[in-house]
Amino acid sequence: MLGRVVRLSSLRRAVQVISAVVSNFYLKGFAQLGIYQGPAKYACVPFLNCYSCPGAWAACPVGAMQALLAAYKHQFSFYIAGLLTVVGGATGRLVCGWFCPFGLVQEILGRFSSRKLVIPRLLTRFKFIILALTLLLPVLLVGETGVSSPYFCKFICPAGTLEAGVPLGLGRPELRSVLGGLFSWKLAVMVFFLVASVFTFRPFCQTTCPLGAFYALFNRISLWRIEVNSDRCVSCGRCRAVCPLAIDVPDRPNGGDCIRCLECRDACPTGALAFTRAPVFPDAVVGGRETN
Amino acid sequence: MQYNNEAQRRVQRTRKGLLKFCGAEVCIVMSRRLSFVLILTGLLMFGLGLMRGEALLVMQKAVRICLECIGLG
Repeated sequence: MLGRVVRLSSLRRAVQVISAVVSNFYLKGFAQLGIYQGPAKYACVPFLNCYSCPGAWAACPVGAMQALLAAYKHQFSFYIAGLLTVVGGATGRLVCGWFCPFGLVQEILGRFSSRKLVIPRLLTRFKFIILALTLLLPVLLVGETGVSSPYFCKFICPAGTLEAGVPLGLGRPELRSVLGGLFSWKLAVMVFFLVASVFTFRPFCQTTCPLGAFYALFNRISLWRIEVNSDRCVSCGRCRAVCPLAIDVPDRPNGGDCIRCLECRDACPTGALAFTRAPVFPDAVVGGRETN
Repeated sequence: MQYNNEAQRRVQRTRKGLLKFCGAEVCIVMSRRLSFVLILTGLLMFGLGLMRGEALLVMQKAVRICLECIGLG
């Protein structure tokens, strides 16, 4: 009922801001250019938020998983995988749309241009390759010492560069003096995604984020999902028009690209769309309304 | 069955497809059960990870500055 009273898009923006602030509220870290080292780092946030960000009080699931996979024992973390499975199984990519701070940054940059390019479907599949490499490379590409690297964090993650690399790398003189080619590469990747965010909606989330790819696997089968009431739908096309990811909502309401921003739900003039725990086809064969 | 609009036709096609595949009722029940099974599996994995002391390992990694993240790797 809340959704019918409050525009979910406004609520979502508030939740995004609160999430970004709460997950990075260790202000002392920014002041001293250090990182939080307290017991809250036992916990993982379910979204991409670099644990080396001066403000971060919890661990990043991708960073922590990779760090464990890359360590000498190459240990897979059931703790992190379980957390992500619970979150994904419950709501799919809702976390991407509502809680991810880097998603918020991309969306804010997107406001500088009203014209948005649509990323080809094939390119959005790239994130699944990144997910596979994120999990496999730290185990397969091991150095002589038996230790590997968190390759996604090392070569790609623009959230890590923005949240940790820029403030710590440029802010601390002893780190700044040893920055080299790798930092330049990471900076270039970050700038690429930030600039691309102006012209297309959340390019990193659509094409590259391994966490988004993992949650995308759950979108169709998550407990809470978007339901289309076909009796109410008048095929006006507004849901398709407002969808920032250009998803054909009546056809694929729970496609892997959907980050559950629920703009479509707000735009629907007849209330045919709902984000709910209801069965897949509430009024179909089970409801018995359909008698042919 | 009269279809009022294109959306109904689409959903109807999907329903028929599902019925052919496994029966719509079964699909509905299976779909919801699958969600619960996934969440339960996730909880079990989370618990297993806690028992294996992985939270401590995560913390030990997360309290150190990740040089790779910064670009010093």
